[in-house]
Amino acid sequence: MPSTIRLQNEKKPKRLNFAQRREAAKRNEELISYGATLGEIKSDPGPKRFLLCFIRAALIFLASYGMLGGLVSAFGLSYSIPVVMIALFILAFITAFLYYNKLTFYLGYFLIFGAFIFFSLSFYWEINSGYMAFLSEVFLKYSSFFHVATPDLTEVIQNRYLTVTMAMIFMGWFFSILLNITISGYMDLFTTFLITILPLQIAFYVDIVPPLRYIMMLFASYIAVAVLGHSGRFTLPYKSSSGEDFMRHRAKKKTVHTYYSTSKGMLQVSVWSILLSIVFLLICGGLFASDISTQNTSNRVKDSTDDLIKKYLDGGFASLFDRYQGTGGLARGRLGGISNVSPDFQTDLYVRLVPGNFEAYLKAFTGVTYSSSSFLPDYFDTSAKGDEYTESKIGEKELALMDTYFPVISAYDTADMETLDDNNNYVSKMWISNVDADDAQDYRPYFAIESSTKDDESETGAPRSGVVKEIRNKAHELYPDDMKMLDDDKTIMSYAPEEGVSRSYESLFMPFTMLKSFNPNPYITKEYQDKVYDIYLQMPDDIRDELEEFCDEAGLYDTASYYRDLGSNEERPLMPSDQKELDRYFELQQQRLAVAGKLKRYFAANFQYTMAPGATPRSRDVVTYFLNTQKRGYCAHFASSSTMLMRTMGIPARYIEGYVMTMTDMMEGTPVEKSTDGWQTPGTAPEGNGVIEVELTDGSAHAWIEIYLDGYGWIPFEMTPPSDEAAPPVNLDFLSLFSGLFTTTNRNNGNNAAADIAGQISRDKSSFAFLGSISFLLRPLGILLAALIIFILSFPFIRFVREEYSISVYAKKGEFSRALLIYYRRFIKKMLKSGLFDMPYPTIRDGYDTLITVGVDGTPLNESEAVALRRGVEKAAYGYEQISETDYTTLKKLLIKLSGNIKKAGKRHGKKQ
Amino acid sequence: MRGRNLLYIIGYFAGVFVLLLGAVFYRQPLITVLILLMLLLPVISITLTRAAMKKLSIEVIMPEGELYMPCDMNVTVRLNNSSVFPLLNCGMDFRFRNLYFHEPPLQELILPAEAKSHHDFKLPFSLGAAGMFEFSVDAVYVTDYLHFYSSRLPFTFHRELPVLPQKCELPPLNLTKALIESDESENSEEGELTRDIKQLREYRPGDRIKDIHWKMTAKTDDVSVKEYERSKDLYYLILPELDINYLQQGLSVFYSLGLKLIKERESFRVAIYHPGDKSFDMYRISDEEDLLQAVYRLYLEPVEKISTAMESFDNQYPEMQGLIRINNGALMMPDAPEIY
Repeated sequence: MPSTIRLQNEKKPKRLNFAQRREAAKRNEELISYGATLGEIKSDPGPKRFLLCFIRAALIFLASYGMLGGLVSAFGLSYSIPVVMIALFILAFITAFLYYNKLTFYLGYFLIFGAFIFFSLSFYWEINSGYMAFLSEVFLKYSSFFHVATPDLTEVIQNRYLTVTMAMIFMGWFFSILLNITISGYMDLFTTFLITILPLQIAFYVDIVPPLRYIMMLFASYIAVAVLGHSGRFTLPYKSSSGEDFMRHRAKKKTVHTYYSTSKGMLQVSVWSILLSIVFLLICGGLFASDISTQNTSNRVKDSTDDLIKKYLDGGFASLFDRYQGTGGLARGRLGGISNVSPDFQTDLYVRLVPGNFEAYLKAFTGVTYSSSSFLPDYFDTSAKGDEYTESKIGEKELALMDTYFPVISAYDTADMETLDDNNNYVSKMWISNVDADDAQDYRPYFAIESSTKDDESETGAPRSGVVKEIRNKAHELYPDDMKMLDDDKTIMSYAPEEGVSRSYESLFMPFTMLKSFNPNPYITKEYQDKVYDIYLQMPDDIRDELEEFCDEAGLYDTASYYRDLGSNEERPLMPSDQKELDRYFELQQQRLAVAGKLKRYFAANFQYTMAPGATPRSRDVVTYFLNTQKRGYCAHFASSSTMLMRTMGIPARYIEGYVMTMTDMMEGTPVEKSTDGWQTPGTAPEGNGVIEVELTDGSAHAWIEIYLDGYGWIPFEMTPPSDEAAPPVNLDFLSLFSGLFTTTNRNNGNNAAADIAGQISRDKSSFAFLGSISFLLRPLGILLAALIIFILSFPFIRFVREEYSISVYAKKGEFSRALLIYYRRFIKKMLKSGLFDMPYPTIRDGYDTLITVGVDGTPLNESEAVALRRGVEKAAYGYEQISETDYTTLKKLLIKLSGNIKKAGKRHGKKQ
Repeated sequence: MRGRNLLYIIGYFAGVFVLLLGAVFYRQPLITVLILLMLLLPVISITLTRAAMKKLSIEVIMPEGELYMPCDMNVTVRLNNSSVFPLLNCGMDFRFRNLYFHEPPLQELILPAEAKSHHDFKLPFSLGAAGMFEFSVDAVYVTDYLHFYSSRLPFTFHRELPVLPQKCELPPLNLTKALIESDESENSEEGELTRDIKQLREYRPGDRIKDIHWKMTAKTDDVSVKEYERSKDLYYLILPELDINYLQQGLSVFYSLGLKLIKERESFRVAIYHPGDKSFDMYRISDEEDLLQAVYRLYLEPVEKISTAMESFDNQYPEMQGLIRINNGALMMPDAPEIY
């Protein structure tokens, strides 16, 4: 036994590294254990390191130029193609050759980073301007697509041809370094795909398709990287720590030796990848690109990302985040700080009532004074000099008392709303239990008088206004019978609040349908009305011009000019005494509602309802930003803006927050009591289904406005246009992504809300929503399937054409033997198919035997012909010389004739069976 | 299809599914085309691989001539791909072993077959012991570019290659020739052949080709064999007692002794022991070719931990004297004096 092991092809390095020493030890062990060991496997010819690096450079170039060129061209920017191509190839070449050996690898990266920084600093303004030019085009396209404002970007150097070229070289450099890692280092398709496809999303997202040649380059690189990476044969030889051409993986049952790389094979794969991508995209790419770009459809997830982009375009990065917490987007008058309303759908209020044909608006917060980002509950004179507001001109107690009782006498329909029979003039009782709503607020239905088991003056009692005694006394005076329903002991005690309930109380209210039943209020005094005009026309001076301009654009002044031109309180009577003026007076009050209705329709046509509008930039006024820039928002935006617009037109208005209990909520309520005794006025009320309990979540939180009508008082008005979001708003979590997968919506372009609503209705009627959502995939997949079937079916035809071509070539060259053998092979295949042979590979003699015994159609072939055929074919197959042309012609005719008879025989055979 | 490919296939279609979701979500042309491409790629990959496989030929080239310890040798695998598509995943399962040792794990070799070219791969083996070296290729298969499909080629290979022991220096020899004195010895056909022809007879299987009487065969159309007179001379008889611990030394001594005797033009016999049935085969060695045959024969016999060859020999040939033993890797001269 030799004491030392001499390895095969050992290069005798001066000093073995760790891997080599370990490998030598392993082989020594093998030699002792097995008596033999396999040394370093060598391939001849071995891989060419230069070629290996060069192919990597080519792949990096294809990926980087395909992505950058495609992106820049997609947005219509021109650049110097030869300069960029040459520069990017040189960069790809340099970066790829960093892997040439260890010295270039460790030293080269420092050099290339240094050069990159030097280049960036030297051409800073060119690169910056090119980048800005690109961003300008991107913003232009996006603004046009999403109908948002275009931000202004400054280009220091105006020569875009130069600056875009420089910026492309800069970006190409950057991406070459990245792609060198993913391609040269790891040959990893996933990261290569991500790095190149993500920037291209900028174009694809707004349905812009880059020119096909760039996509071909990208695809070629993808295919090559996929094939080379997946097969795992891409590593440079020096990457092997033991310095070998083959990687050795030892396991218990098997030792695997895998080659590291093959330069020629890599080259061939790359060439085929390029050809394949060219062919594939020429056939398919253009077809699908044009098909999809006109589709203009989306889904809920896409809408969500659309919203994010709109937010970003509107207000920058900060607009993506909330500045404060709110309940369903509402936060006691604070505005514009919530980017995305995300209700938790947990119960905030329990409400018990007798359901009816009405919607219950539970009012909580009243916004009086508007500043740039919020409504305040108290009045401050913002027109005073300096930053400090003056104190309230009217006492809170007095306002509350005046606001509270609204005795409704008879129906009074607004001019632009459909007249309905009024059957709502009855008094009902509502029990409210606050579970998780803001307990600093009271939640009261309209036309309500509250009761409570708690001490009226205590802080936890409800309501907290401190005027409840006076209100109650007044109510007892006005409605002695109805007030008996407020039986604290019986009702509230029987519905003992659960643990965690902060407050429960009862209200007497008059159910109403908004804008259907309002009547003059005889209790409004001139003093109150004057104070209303003093307080509720408040507006910061710096936004007045913008709001007036908006009213002009929206055409609101035509009907509202009267109010703007109204004089002082002294000129404004409480109620005209003259009958003619009284008619005019009532007509004007109706027109206030008509103006509000017109504004609401304007919003519906030109603004978009969304739960994710993005936060308003801190420096901007929420109302003017919403009206002039954002044009998207939820109820708080519409209500706050409407309030200020009404004030602009001289109509007193105020901003209200609370909860809305819709008829749908009532239908979904839980029955708790069959009898309605003690819950509503007997006789006049419509027959209900007993008492129900409704759970109101923060999804029901809402904002609306109140408009003051002279002689009538405060009328609630809904200003938020209908939402085109069929389902409740969803968060962008994983499951909700899938919930919106197969439900399509029209793409939200900002000005098609009405079309969206119509489209939504029509889509809801369709039961093929799923197929509709993937219809764009069906067509190309169908084409692909058809192409595959045609391709497979065309195999025999292609083979026939190829054989005929070969026969003609051989016949021309005088190689009749080879031509005859093709005919003979075709003939034998037919015989095999017809089942004339038992064996799978019949010899010439087998063919001869079959022909003289059974023939091809049941009749044995003439022996002389069979022998001639056998000899001719044997000579053609084994002979040194070619057969003669005469023999070839004769035998060819014979084979064709026999082949024809096989087919006939097959048919006859089929008929017999 | 190989088991591990299943993971690749699942991963591949998971990727396609993710892209499909992306396409449904975003209606993007590039993603749609990518899906189509991903669906087509396996078909293309398998089709091209199958087409190229038909034009792939494999050859295994083993070294010619005798191999002596210590020894390095190359086994060359030659791949010839005459198609225009490269095959990057040509796999070959092969085994090698020295029959005296345990079998190493199965070896798998992954090779590239570049398009329109032939490629030689040299498998260098270092042989650390004399014995019968066996090399076999169990399977050759080609996997497509995406690792979806593997197909076997109808190719297997098996070859045994004897590796001769290292020659060693022998001590001064004091050998005796063996004598068999028994009842059977007179009728035995054992004994040195002389140049005198005893008779011509018909060919029997086992006869040496050089004993065929070609002239007579040509005349009569029947193969005739010359049978020589046998002498009753004494001869050297060597008994290699091989055990695991001194195997290589024993082989080396036996081989060196054989060569020395041949060099001295001495004809001798070797008793090759079968531990299985405890029988012996006697080989007559008169030249190097005979010696090699005996060595190869010896390689095929199993080796005991402690050799029982001498014990069995004594039992079967109790009268034998002058036996030359190779025990514990050393040459043992006969104890008995020469008997003439």
